[in-house]
Amino acid sequence: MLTRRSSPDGTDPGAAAAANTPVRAPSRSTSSGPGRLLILRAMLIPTLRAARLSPMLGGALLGLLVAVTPSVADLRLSLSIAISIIRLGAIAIALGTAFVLDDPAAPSTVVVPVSPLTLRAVRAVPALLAGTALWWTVVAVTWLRTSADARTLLPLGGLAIEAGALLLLSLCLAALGLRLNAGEAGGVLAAPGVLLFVLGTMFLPDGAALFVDAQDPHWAAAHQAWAALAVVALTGALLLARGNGNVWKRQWGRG
Amino acid sequence: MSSTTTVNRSQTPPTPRTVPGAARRAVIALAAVEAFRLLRHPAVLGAFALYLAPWAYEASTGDAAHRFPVLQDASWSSQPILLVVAAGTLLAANLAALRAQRHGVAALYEVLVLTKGQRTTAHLLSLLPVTVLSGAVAVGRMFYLAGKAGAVGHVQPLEVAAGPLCVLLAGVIGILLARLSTSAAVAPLALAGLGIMSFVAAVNNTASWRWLGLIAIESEIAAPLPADLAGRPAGAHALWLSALAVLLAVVALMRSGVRSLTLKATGSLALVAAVAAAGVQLGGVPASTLRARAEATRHPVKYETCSTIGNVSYCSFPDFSGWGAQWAHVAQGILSRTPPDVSTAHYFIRQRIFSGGDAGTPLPPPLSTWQQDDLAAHTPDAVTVGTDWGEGSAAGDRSSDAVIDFAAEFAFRVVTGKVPGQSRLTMLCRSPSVLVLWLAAQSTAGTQDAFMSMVRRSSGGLSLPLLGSAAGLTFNAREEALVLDLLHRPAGEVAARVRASWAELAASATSTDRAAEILGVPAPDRALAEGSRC
Repeated sequence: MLTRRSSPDGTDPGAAAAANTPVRAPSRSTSSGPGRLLILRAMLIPTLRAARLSPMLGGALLGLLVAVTPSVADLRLSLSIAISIIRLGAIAIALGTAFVLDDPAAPSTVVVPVSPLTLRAVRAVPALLAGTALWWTVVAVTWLRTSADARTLLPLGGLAIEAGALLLLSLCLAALGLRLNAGEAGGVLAAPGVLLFVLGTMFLPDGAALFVDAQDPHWAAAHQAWAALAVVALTGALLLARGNGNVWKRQWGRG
Repeated sequence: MSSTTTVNRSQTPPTPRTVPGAARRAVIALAAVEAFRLLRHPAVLGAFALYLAPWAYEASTGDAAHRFPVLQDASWSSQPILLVVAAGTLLAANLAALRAQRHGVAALYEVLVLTKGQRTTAHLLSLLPVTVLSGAVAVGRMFYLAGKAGAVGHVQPLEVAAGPLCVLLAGVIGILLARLSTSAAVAPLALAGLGIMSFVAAVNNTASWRWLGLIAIESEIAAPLPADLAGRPAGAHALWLSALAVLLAVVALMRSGVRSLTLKATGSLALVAAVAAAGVQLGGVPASTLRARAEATRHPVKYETCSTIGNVSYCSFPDFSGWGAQWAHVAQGILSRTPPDVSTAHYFIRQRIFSGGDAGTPLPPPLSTWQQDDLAAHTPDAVTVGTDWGEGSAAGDRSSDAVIDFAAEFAFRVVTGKVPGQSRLTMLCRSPSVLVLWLAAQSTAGTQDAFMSMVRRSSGGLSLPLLGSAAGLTFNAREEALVLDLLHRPAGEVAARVRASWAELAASATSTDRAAEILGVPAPDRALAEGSRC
């Protein structure tokens, strides 16, 4: 790996460059166990302070606005409308989460002695937790406005799988965006990607539809597909977040 | 060799030599580059792929779902999927207009020959090719549907134009957002907001305010109407979308520093046009159209033309006359299983519209008015057919149900010699119930598919409402089970038994057990008749 900082053995990068000798990066696994936890704890607040949280807040507001509107209009929701509102909430939250890995300072953090995966996990895990909490808030608000007979039929397990898959897809695309964008702006790829994915699935043929009605005979099959998508997205996010280089050009840093 | 240059500091820098029309040419050149980049942007390419993929899939699998399109409905139903292209265009246009900020070179743009306003103009012009391409695919889609042998009705050009105009408006919104905020997160969230607005409009599909959104769709359970009864303000909506696009483009240019009088005048005109279009749209369906719709519902005879195929006359609204052969196919499929005296009698089929079943509780149709009109028009006991048609269950539940509804109504007329005259569901019992349902279901491959589709979606018997109204036919689960059994046997063999014992099978006194015995199948479990009103 090529890096821009001097190595701990005192190699002068300028001299190394002059000698046209690649400089080895320091090992990033400088601590383990309690030490790593201490590092994570030390990183958490400053990283979250530096993270772009306004899109996440925007997504959360949008999702909550949709959920609260029936209460304001004093409407009782049918099962299908309640499901649609919960899905819209999940989409809005996933869109907001798309920007949480963005790091305009990425060229400078390339040299910190923490792996890229840890750097991104410090942003992604709180975002996932916040996204989950927000989604359950949307569910609770919607549940209160759903007609009594429809409440018992709300398939919350399946809807939770959909919401989780969308969140993970958003993070996976964001991680891919970082690999294409010098680690700075993954949301530029993730947000359009999530939107186009959602729009595209709405026009799939009946047998392949992902957003299906609760009584649809394809509900179970569709949710197996959602679960598979969640697993693929999680795996993709973990693999992509491990590095900084452009996945196509195989280069390090800004490239 | 050396030279000395003396600079007079009081001297103003030389004015660059301006070539007439150079700025315009530069804007057009930039617009061409941006247009090309926009067309090849992954969001736009992906959106077009999403638009074309279902179409390609349908075409490759025979496209049974669109074998009988009603073109005036297909004209507006082509709009929703173009929203995918509109979404891709909004995102791509926003990212293009934010390119300088995203790459941290915004300050360097100040040294370029084009001003910010001119660059915004170029971005706005770059939307035209993607709009034209959207129009081309929308028109191509309509040609594809209009080319179907089962297509009826008329293409509505202004409805088709609304899709590409949405793409243009979405692109303008993307550029305006870039001029309002340099954050790339704003456009996706705004797009999600637009999507939620479109969803709310789709749910409230009878409210006139829904026309103020990007598209206005109709209730998915409402049957198509003849084109001149639709009452959709398509022209006003096209004007609304165009005026909004111009108005928002003007705002984007003003945000970019352009303040010319022409621009302000254009913006004012666009605002007036948008307000006028909104007024027309909020007015809802014109009263004259509502009156014409009510008249066509109560007295369809006045509006229809009739043709005769064999011994059956078919009367339909001119828009739907192309389906006469389909109705004849079903009618002949039923008559071919009946004795000669029944199959050679003269029958009448009349197309009707009724919207009393579209919202909530189904209403009774004006059956007595229809019967009086039929008598006056010398088409007594005309069997009702609606404005939906499909090939079995492929075109969805509404079309599928229309096929089996018509087949059952016609079979009822053939077996009983009359049409259902009650304002509520007519319960068919015992042997005639079996005969009517079997004749209807076995008529064609499409009616059998539609029957099976309805059986899968029903429990405790079948109800076949007339045009979604409170009237129609209803069957018990026991007779339905017997018919399912009969459908597994050779139709010719069952038909021979039907012809041989027609009078007994058609008699209301004949029991279901006796019908099963005549037709050579075991009688279904009596438990299925529990709770029956027979």
